Amino acid sequence: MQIISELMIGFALLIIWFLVLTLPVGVFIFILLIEETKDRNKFMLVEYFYFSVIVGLIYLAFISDLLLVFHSLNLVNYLFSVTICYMSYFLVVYVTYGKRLMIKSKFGYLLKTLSSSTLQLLIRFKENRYHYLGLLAIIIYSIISRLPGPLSISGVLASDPWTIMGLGNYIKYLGYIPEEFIYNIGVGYEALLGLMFTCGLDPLFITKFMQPVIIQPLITITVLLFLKKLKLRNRYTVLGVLLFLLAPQLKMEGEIYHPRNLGYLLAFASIYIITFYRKYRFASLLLGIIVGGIWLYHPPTAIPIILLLLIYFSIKLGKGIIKHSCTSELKSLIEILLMAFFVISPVFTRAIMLFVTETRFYEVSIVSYVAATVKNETSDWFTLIENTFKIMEFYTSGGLTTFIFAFLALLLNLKLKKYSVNFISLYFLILLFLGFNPYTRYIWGCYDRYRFFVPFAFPEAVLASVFMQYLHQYKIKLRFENQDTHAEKKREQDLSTILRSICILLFVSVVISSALLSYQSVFCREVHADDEDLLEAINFIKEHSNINSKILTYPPARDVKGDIYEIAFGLLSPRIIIGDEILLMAPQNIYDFMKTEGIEYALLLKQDQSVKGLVEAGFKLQEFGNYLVISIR
Amino acid sequence: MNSKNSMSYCYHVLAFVAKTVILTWIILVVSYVMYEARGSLVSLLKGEVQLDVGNFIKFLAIFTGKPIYIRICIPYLSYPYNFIDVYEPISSMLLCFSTFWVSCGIILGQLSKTFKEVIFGAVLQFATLLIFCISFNCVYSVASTLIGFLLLIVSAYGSYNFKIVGETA
Repeated sequence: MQIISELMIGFALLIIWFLVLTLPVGVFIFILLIEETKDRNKFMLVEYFYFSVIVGLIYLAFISDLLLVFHSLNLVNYLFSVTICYMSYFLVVYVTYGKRLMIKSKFGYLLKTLSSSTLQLLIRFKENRYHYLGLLAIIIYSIISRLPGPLSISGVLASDPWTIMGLGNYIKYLGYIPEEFIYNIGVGYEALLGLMFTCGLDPLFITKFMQPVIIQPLITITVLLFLKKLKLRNRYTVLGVLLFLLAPQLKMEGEIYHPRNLGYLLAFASIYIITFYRKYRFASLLLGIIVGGIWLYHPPTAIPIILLLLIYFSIKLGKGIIKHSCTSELKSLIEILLMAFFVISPVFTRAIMLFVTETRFYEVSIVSYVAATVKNETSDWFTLIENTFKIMEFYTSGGLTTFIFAFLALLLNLKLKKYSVNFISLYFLILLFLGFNPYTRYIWGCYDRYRFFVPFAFPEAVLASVFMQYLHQYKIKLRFENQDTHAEKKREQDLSTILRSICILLFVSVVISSALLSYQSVFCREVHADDEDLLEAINFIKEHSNINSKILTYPPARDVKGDIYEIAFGLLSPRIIIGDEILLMAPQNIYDFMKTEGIEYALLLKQDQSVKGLVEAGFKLQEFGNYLVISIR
Repeated sequence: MNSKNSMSYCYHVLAFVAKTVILTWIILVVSYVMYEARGSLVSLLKGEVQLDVGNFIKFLAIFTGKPIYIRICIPYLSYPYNFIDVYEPISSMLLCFSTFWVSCGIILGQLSKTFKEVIFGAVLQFATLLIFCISFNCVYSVASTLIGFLLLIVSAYGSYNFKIVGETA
């Protein structure tokens, strides 16, 4: 019963938080409804809602970073800055629309206008009811497809939320993140979680809630809007979105509750803005905000997008210079760069502060390590080929059909130039290059090269649905000509229908098999271990120590049953977690080490130390399955 | 003349049956091959895939509501975490089983020319799969089977209407 009431309170708080995020949108939609403005058709309400939520999320990350720089991130300051932002927003709204609204301030008139506008909206909805219901079904489906987490705690435990939870705990208890954990990047997501922990919410619940209910629908809307912008037929739009949602590459990480999902959302949003940034005055500023936002939430995602934007604008500028008209492109580029710089300015400030203190900055520098690893990789060519083959197989897993059709669409588009999918093609190519490149981890800025699977699913699905549209619009004929000049026999065979049928068959099969592939053990063939003992051991330490305690355990990457250090950091911080080679130490050495360092508890595997030896050394023992919690008597 | 008309009618009905039912079964078989190949044709070419009638029947059983055990596992290749199996009938049913029936319905709606054909095709598609599953004793849940039929009819009707709206517009 208590759990249910806690869940209800958590849900209510998160809904309030989401409402706060969407409040400006509500006000603007209200204004649009009572104003009979011509702008309504210019920028769709869905787009406005979508971008407002995204900009809201970026604002929250910006303010969190800014407050972190001054070690003053707490709920009061946070809410205060949000209030200031809203006040200035409402002031601008009042200055812009106030006078016009004052004229219509008679309540009866206001009500009449509002009801007639709502009625018009309802009529529009009724006219296209199948379209809107279809969109709604897709969005609900996208939420359901990411739902396994909220029903089980294991989904979250498996999604490696330890670092985020650990940093969140630091923010909750101390209001800042210690230097050794601060990179020269943004920590928007961690700060957001930290503040939510402060409200008494269960961190696991938040991490479970964020991905399926907030991030995923926004990602789905991006794909829908993008395909709509390309003027694809409705059925191909639906198919494209389904392919994207069910791409096994996406499923591999889709259920992982990680800021990288927010990074992908923003990367996709920036691709969408590229389609109209020249039409609207504010679009390049919006693009700048979003590029900065990617840096605040998850910089590794920003690397290919920033690279791509630079290539794209360089091409545009180059073309402009040839035609002597590069002013507008240059202006847009400067606007984007300035805005992006402004958004990530707190991070720059922090980076400069770190540079001065010369702590983390040099530790992060991995030049020598990279050089050594590159040398190792190049020396073993066989591994290199094997790895490339493995990557190729990963690329195609569940989606070779999609991959091939995406590639065909790319070639067709180069030839026919019918759809303006240049940017998405460029993105597809650059991800392909990064994927096949064995040194991806150095370009990408992270150790795990397989994480590009998620962004890759996006251009792949878009291009594959474009290919379907091509098949619909063009007839593909096979022509037989007789070489004999006397016999003028020509035969033509139309292949379009059969090709279209095969395509639909393959695509639907990909969709169905992907849905099943997302559940790897459909036939219950696999046997697994559980890790409840470790969680119980950690919980014991948590209950018997305070936040200033020191805990000793293995160094990172001791992964008998998950990374013990990471899990301990996630659940026990801001207690200081010391990772040392206790496996190699004798019980007496451990005892002396703990005594001199003032360490209260140590967590280790039973298999690594003899119980008898530990008791003889003077430890007090507590057993949790395969784990031991030891403390000095 | 009459015999010619009845012949063309028979031909039309047969063609329709072939289009709806056979296509559904082709989709099922291709999906099963892709599933067993873990979607990768590379592993199919390398001969790592074993196609099995027993597994195919289990595969079909999912579409009549077979409960699914899900392994939640972190996909990092370097250090996989293994956690407890989680039983989630609701989300698995909604995802796997609705994907299949809704896809069938959409295709049916697009292929049908009249509303009668929509109903006829839906009953045919549903009945063939159900009869097959009953004969192999792998119908797992009557309730989800009926929900499947409902999804099929609704999506077929929606897809049929959607087509008409699109054409007139």
